[in-house]
Amino acid sequence: MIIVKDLSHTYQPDSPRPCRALHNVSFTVENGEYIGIVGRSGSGKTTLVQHINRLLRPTSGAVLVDGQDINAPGFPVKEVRRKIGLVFQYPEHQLFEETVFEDVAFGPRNLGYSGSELPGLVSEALSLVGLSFDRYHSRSPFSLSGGEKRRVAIAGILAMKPRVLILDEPTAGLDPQGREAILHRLERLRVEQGLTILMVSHYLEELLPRVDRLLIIKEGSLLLSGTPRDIIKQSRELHGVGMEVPQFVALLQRLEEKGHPVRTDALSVRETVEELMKVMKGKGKGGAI
Amino acid sequence: MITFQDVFFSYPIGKQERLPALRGLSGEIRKGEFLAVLGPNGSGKSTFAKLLNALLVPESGEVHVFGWDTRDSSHLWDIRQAVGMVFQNPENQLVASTIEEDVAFGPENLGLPPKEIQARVEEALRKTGLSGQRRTDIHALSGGEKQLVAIAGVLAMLPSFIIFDEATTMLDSENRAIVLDAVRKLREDHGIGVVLITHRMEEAVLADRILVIGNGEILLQGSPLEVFSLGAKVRSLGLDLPPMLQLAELLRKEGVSLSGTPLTVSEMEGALQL
Ligand SMILES: Nc1ncnc2c1ncn2[C@@H]1O[C@H](COP(=O)(O)OP(=O)(O)OP(=O)(O)O)[C@@H](O)[C@H]1O
Ligand SMILES: Nc1ncnc2c1ncn2[C@@H]1O[C@H](COP(=O)(O)OP(=O)(O)OP(=O)(O)O)[C@@H](O)[C@H]1O
Ligand SMILES: [Mg+2]
Ligand SMILES: [Mg+2]
Repeated sequence: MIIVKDLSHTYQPDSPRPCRALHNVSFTVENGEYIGIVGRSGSGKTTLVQHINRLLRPTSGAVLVDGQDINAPGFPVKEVRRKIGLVFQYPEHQLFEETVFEDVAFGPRNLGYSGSELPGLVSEALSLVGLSFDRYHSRSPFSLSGGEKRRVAIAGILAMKPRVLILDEPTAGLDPQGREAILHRLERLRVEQGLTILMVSHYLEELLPRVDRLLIIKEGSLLLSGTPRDIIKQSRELHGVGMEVPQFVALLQRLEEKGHPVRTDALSVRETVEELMKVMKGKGKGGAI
Repeated sequence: MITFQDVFFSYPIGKQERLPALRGLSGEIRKGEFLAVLGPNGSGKSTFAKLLNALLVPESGEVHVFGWDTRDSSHLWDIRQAVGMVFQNPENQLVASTIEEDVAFGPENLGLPPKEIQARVEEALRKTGLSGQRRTDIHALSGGEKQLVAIAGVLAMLPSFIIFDEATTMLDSENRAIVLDAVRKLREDHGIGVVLITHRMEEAVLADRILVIGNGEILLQGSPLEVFSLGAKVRSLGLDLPPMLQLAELLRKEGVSLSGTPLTVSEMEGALQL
């Protein structure tokens, strides 16, 4: 379990222009939960998640992992990194080895996996992100395309087999099929291995059908937290943090405005179909059904 | 106008090997046109973009920008000025220490008079909603804010063409809409041509024309309607259908008869005839 308690962070506190990026954020994440984090550009999402694996230290407040304060003096940072993997917003910030193999192997090697275990781990991680081991293992990570870099960065974290996976806008740069496939595999890891996932995204349609809870960050504070079903109904709040609802919700909202008896809290295209079928049946427009 | 003829390009990897990235691309991009370029990861989109403004030159074949051959280095400056690019990773193009200085960097390099530079910077900051943050340190920006500054920097150059290489992927939806709107205005007011490289099909439907690249080749091109009408074929090229068309597809499976190929929410609303 992760407890974030009254977390505040100020960048460059001693400079003439300190930036208060987070104020008094508190929430809890249960083991095995899938949490989505949304909010405007610059609202503090990256700052928040970087505290959870101790890339940043709180200005005040605390982060507890399994009951322990990870910022307590003498607390081993390695312990945090073993449990909690974070995929950076920019993959370039995470890639530094000469080959893809070495890059993906870096984390596990550091955690003490032996040389003979590494090829298996690397190959498994690369296949999770849809990259062929044979084609990519000897490539330089710097000479990859944007989406290929993103995949290697994700693989590098998966290879450490963390119990908590934090992904900071992981789908930026992924092609549509890669995006779906990788998100699907993460969900499977969650079911099979009890992985806890925190994912930052600007695309609600990616989060709605999969997460247990959404956290909305506004100007460094936690504005709202709730199930996707609760949150998607709050169009006004979403609008206030620069978020558009997915197109399928926008469609349902327009139909509702026209007076049709539709629910507007669909979480996926599939649920939208169900909702539309109800309306059409009501109108005797169900076609073959 | 940009024309490209039989363009081949490969990257050296390892000691002797080369990785073919583009294999015989031909076509043209007209002024004022809005072209979306789609294709799976590693298909060659960014490579193609870099060939359009002479960051790379073809191994064989030719690229001409307003008649200038990109291999002719005496026109390098004219070409870079005519074809602006927002990189996939904005960190590669942020050079100055504050937002304002960074946006001014391009126009300053064009050797414009100070008044004109100032006017252009103001306009670019206003268009991207960055006016209030002009003195912010570049290093203190969030991921999305960096993308926005990189976009502002290119807008301030007023090039004849702008290439957005997945340049809005980390923006919130409001900022994405602001940028797309700024792009629309640039086309209307200045006749600027836009090349939008994207993995988001709902953005691609806004274009005049779509170019689909796969494995270094042009696999398909046409209007969004022509391209997405192909349905399953589009998926087989590693793409997806825009969300409203996915919805239409599922509804048809349920036996609903829908007219046309709805690509946007409004079109879907029309097609439903409720
Ligand atoms: N290293 C830094 N030094 C100073 N200020 C910073 C630093 N990093 C971020 N900030 C500021 O802190 C605020 C929050 O930034 P953060 O990166 O957490 O936002 P974000 O929600 O992740 O945004 P995005 O969606 O654009 O990635 C922003 O105003 C940003 O300018
Ligand atoms: N500097 C480089 N050196 C060697 N190979 C490269 C280099 N840059 C790209 N490549 C390779 O060339 C191919 C095309 O890359 P490119 O960046 O053009 O793809 P892309 O379509 O932009 O992909 P993405 O959607 O992931 O951004 C890929 O297989 C990539 O690995
Ligand atoms: Mg961020
Ligand atoms: Mg690219």
